[in-house]
Amino acid sequence: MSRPGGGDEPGRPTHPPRLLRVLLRILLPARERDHLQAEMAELYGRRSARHGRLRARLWYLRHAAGFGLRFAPRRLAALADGSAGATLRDARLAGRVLLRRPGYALTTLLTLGIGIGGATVVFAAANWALLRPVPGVSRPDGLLTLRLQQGESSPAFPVSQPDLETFEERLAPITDLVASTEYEVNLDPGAGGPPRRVAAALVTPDWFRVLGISPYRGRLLDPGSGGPEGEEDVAVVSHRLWRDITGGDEALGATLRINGHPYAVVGVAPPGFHGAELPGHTDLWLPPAALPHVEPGRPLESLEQRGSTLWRQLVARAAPGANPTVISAEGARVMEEVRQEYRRHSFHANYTLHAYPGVGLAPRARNTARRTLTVLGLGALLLLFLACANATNLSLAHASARRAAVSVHRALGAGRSRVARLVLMEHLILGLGGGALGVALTAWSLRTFSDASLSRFGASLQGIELDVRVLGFVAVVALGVALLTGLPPALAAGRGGILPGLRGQAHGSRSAARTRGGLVVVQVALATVLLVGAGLLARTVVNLGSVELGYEPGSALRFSIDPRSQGYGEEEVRTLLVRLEERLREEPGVRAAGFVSPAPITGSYVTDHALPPGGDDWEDMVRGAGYQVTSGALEALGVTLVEGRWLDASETPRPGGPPALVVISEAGARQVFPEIPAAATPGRLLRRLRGEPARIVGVVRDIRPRGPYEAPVPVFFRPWGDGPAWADIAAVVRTTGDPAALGGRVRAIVASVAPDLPVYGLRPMREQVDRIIVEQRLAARIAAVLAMAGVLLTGVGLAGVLGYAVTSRRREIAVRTALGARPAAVVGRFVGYGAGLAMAGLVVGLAAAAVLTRPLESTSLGPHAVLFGIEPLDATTYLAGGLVMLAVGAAAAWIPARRAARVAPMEVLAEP
Amino acid sequence: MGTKGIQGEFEHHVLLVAARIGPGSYTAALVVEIEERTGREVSPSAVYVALRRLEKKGLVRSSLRTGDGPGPLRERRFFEVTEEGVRALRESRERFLSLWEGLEPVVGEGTP
Repeated sequence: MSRPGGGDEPGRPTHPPRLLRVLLRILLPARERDHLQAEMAELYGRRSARHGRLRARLWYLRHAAGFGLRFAPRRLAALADGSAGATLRDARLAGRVLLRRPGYALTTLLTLGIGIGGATVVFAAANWALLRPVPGVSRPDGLLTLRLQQGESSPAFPVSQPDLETFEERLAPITDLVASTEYEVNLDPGAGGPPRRVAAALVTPDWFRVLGISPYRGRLLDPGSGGPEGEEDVAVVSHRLWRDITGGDEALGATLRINGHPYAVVGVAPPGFHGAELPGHTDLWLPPAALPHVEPGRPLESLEQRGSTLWRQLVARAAPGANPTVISAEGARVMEEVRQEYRRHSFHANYTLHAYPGVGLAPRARNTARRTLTVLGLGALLLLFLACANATNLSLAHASARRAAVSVHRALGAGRSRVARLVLMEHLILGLGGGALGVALTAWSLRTFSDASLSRFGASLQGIELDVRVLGFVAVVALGVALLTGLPPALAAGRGGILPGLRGQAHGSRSAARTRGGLVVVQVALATVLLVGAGLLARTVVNLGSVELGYEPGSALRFSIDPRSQGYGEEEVRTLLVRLEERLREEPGVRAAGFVSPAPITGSYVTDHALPPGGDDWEDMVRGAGYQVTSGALEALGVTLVEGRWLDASETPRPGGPPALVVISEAGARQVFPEIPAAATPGRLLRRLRGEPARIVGVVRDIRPRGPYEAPVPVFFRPWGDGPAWADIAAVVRTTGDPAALGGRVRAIVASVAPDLPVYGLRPMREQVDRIIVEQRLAARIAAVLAMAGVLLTGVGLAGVLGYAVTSRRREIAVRTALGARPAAVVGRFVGYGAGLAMAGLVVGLAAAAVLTRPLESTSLGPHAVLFGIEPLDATTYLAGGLVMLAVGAAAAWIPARRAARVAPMEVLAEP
Repeated sequence: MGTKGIQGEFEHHVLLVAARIGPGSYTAALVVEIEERTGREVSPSAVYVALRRLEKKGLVRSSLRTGDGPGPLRERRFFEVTEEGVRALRESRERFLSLWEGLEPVVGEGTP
């Protein structure tokens, strides 16, 4: 048998590259290392000669890994003794050191926990809001969200059924295209409970199939039957709705009345699934055949009309590797084709198809979430740095106290690297402990902030979980923090001679003191920035709250009903509203009650027009908000009558009769009749869109119908029935006491008059207004928390540094006092030192705040700007921030300074 | 003792090839030989671990020596089949032959 390895290779022997050789060495156990390396080198040579160097290297890498895997158990065992044993010993030693100084350990733990916790909260929120998958959807990476938009942050435009089919045919990269569109419907579960308002979605027949959803019970909508209209009179309910109605009982085939029409429940969606978009609210899915029921007045034939828009949310399944940009471009091409071929289509020229990877958080919500999280993330980052500075400071102070123990170690032969390792180990334990505390704080605060009523953003955090990624983040941050805070003290620990430490002398170097002072300055600066930010946000909220809305949200309750979708005719609606108004007014505790359509504040914005009698041009046309009201509505809303009188619901105009009556706001009066004062307008005629006259009977004070962000617009109130019938009807009930207390009575009254109609949106009006500014309130709250944490940490840091200064200069103080210095002077020196640090930090902090808050001017939080009624460089806020920091500084300096004053000179000087 | 000492086909191959090469067997040499004979790539770590297992069972013995191979590193762990090992091979051959007996009509003559 030929001897392997001999004489096969001519000339140059090839060796494995150094990197690979080193890798193998690491993986092999010590005793076998040399010969196995040699043998692998030999095999490498053969392979390299036969198959070339690249293949030889790959082979080497593969089989080095093979050795590594086979020897891993043995190596791990060996690690337990050997060098890892030393690490374990270090850990035990460090633990003992920390246990002996519980104050330092706990303070540092708390500091790091707060800093890491803040950063983790933002990361966990980002992770959940942006990355979590839609429950129930299978193979989500093959899915894309498509939207017809003008730009990425504008609302989506709906697409007609024929256009949808054309897209599916001609968009080559996609294999399936499905769509949904949402409605709110009155749902009467029959025996399952009282009528309620639910979010329902009309979906194309194979919607469930393409998303890969499996039913929890029963079946989902059948793609096969019924063509594009799907099946008739069947519905799928969400798991949550099913539990609610049936209590978990098998009640499939149960009949629900949707806007009065009977539907059979054929299946239940998986738990947690509420639509392809997050956060999802849909509780009911209906086939397209349900269109006339969910949108009364819209015939089923409109499905076939290319110009009749319907589908808002489009989801596509694409061929693997499909690129959203390519699909968007293809979409633009197809849209242009449709425009040319059909000339009648459901989209405008300046809309394009945008494709977004995956399903889940809606594209616009993604952007909002990203912006909100960026702002929060910066705040959290500042807090983290602050915490690290604090921890480093504490550690440096502690190191000086540790000096004696370190000196003993070194006298006994421990090298500088050993000492440094000990210090790092301490910090590692503190860092990991801080990380654990941070996780706990995160879990707690996320529960607090993920209340859906807090904001749209809060809603997207519902059910948030801390998953592996978050824990990984915490681990990385904790390790990073441990290194960052541990390296300076570790390097400092080995310095200096051994003897001073053994003699018990404190570490009094000037550079160490300067470092600690510098760190305090940094902390004060960071805390100042956080304070200024929190101050700006807080004042924004106050400003928003003090805007005069023109109506009185306090002591009023509101709710909505939708009789028109249920099939009520106009006369029936009027009769219903009149009866409800009477019954509500009779109720004790109710001062006034009435109905408004559309709903004020958050309802749709209906534009009404007015012209002065002489004016003719489109240019002179005054545009504003239009509302139809019943008799008691204006009083219930709390608008202030300036001149004239209220409307009566019976004053609906008749054709051929006297002019219609209208009540307008001051803004409307000013714009329609600029030459006369607003109060003088009652009695005058104005003209409407088509020239019909209307007589002004009353003028009310300026109203901001949609909340504090908009300037007062002209508002026109018409009597009920004078104008188009909107589905959106809101009731306003003004109460003498707490509006929330009347909720039950209101429901009972509506149930007694119209038992088939659900009451929804029942809440105090104040809450309704608050919801507009909900993002700002949440941000202000979070910023306040971050700022308080920052100020607290800074105070602790400052107190620590000063306390240490006092301790380390006790002899000096004793000498001075013995030589006749007054206590006040002694205290004064330390307070002065502290004040100096605080002032320096304050100056830096205010300057930094001025720079960092600049972008807030043009940033938006949710749909509105971050700041309201205040500029980033607001003098009062900066002044206030500065005063707070000075106060904190003074408080922090107080205790150490008093300790300094109480130093008994004789005792101290008598110490060895 | 006995064939129950040899576990599995791979250990079998390793022991056979070690017997073939003789006292100059070391891991790399066995790898080359097995690959040439079976035409399949074989993992050096698998061979090495198999040899150490055989050693624990007393079927081979090993010694760490500076060999006469090429290259700057000359240390090798050489393996040699013991009498136990030879006996184990003999017994396993008996078993195989008895199991194979009379199977030619089913399996056919040797494959190329």
